[in-house]
Amino acid sequence: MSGPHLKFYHQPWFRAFLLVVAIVIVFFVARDLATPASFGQYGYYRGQNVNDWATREVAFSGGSTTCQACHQDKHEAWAAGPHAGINCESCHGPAAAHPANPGQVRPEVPAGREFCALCHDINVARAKAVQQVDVAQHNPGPDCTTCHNPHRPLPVGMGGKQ
Amino acid sequence: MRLSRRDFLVKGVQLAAGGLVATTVVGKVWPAGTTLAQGKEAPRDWTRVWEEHEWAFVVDTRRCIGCGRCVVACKKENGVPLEAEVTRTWVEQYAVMADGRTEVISPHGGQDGFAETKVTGEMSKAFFVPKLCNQCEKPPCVKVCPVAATYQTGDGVVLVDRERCIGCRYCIQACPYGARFLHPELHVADKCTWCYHRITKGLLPACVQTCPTGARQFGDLKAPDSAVKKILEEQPSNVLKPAMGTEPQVYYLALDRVVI
Ligand code: HEC
Ligand code: HEC
Ligand code: HEC
Ligand code: HEC
Repeated sequence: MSGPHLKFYHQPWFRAFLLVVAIVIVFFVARDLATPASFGQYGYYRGQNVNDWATREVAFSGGSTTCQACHQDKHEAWAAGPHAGINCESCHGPAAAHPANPGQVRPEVPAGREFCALCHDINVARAKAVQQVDVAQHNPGPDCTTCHNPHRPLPVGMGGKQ
Repeated sequence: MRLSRRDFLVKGVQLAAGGLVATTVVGKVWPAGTTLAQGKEAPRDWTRVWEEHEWAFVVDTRRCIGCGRCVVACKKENGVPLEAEVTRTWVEQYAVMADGRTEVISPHGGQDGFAETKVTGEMSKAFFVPKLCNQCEKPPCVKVCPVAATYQTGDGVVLVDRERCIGCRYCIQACPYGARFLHPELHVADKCTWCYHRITKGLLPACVQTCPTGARQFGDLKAPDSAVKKILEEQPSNVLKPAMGTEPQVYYLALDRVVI
């Protein structure tokens, strides 16, 4: 079949070569289309995803100083008392969005004896550095906050609850 | 002009191939990310940022009181439903009984405290152990991902690409610490990120910020007056399952030998 009169582009070897080139091109083009834009930017993953994570909005603010300007009284009492080591939002929940819109976005206001019990109820596994009371026995009935100011929880006569 | 079927096919294939090559070239020269619509927040050059940080997490088991505020804060900060049994961080209560048995419980990850499950009976010791992703330097979870959806950042945090994850759960199986789970709403693998969106803004992870006793501490070993570096230099510390060779970056102070 392949006589000397055939042009080179009619030669079987050339057609086979063309086919191989076509397959290679298709492979690379398809791989490129299937790979997301930033893949491989930093490693074997989609680089843009680092931005996706880093730019997420925070729910908790930067810390208790955020609250100081508007809740001067609470902050002052808190800073001088035994709860000063506890972030406002540890009790009040996420409040990063609250300062911009205080009336609409309200932080939680914890209530009930079970709340204080989370940290203060007697439990042998609990670090002794935190004062523990038997919540079922310690002045049962009223909310803890009737006698203890949550922001300065020392009992009356020990410098607390005004 | 009349096209034979053969010519038609040949021309068609040529056109299609040309189009593909053209779009690829255009896509390379002018990547999608550079359009103005997406320019809200300029992407940072992370290689630069990463060089400056080496994060470390320190857990002091002597200080944990099992209040679970960290678990609640984590779920709220990171969009894991409160009612879900799964969680990115949790607190375990250990009780070593007089007869040598060790009881480990973590009701609902410890998010509601341990009032209902106080240890009773003859006991030699009891304590709480907070747990979270160890951000291993050699993370087994990353290796097994079939779609390159999970990876380790240059500053040592293991993240999951939610757009790529297919929810196959290989990584969940591969983690020796049980730190990964399938997100109940998004159906992709989820895990602690050390609050990557907070630490890259200079804030503390939510669990560290809300811990009332300083049982959880976080910092940058490359910072000039790094508190965590000082702690780790001055006090002996342990990691979980060191024999696994995962090289965790969560360091435990005063870790009891019964903890696994
Ligand atoms: C820009 C000023 C501002 C800042 C900053 C601010 N607050 Fe407030 N906050 C208010 C105002 C105003 C109210 C009263 C809203 C009302 O009753 O309509 C309020 C109410 C509250 C309440 C009571 C909500 C209720 O339902 O009774 C809590 C709790 C609270 N803030 C906590 C915080 C915490 C925690 C922070 C720090 C993260 C903070 N606030 C920061 C202005 C502020
Ligand atoms: C130990 C937990 C705890 C911490 C820490 C704490 N609070 Fe409170 N806060 C409470 C409780 C409990 C109440 C509800 C008081 C009550 O029922 O009388 C409250 C009430 C409030 C109120 C509403 C008061 C009102 O009259 O409606 C504000 C505002 C407030 N806190 C701000 C703060 C700020 C600001 C900080 C940080 C400086 C802070 N809290 C820290 C537990 C806490
Ligand atoms: C998130 C944990 C947490 C919560 C919730 C909490 N406390 Fe505390 N409380 C502490 C820590 C930590 C201290 C400081 C260590 C200590 O002195 O016991 C403390 C100290 C105290 C003290 C002083 C004890 C002493 O003699 O020095 C009192 C009283 C107190 N809390 C009462 C309360 C009351 C009442 C509530 C509920 C409104 C409450 N606490 C909620 C963690 C908590
Ligand atoms: C009727 C008032 C009253 C109520 C209600 C009350 N307390 Fe007290 N609490 C006191 C007084 C008074 C003291 C100091 C004297 C003492 O140790 O009994 C005190 C002491 C404490 C102490 C310090 C213990 C110590 O040994 O120093 C803690 C912690 C405490 N209370 C937590 C709570 C918690 C948590 C609640 C709610 C479950 C609560 N209290 C409810 C009046 C009250």
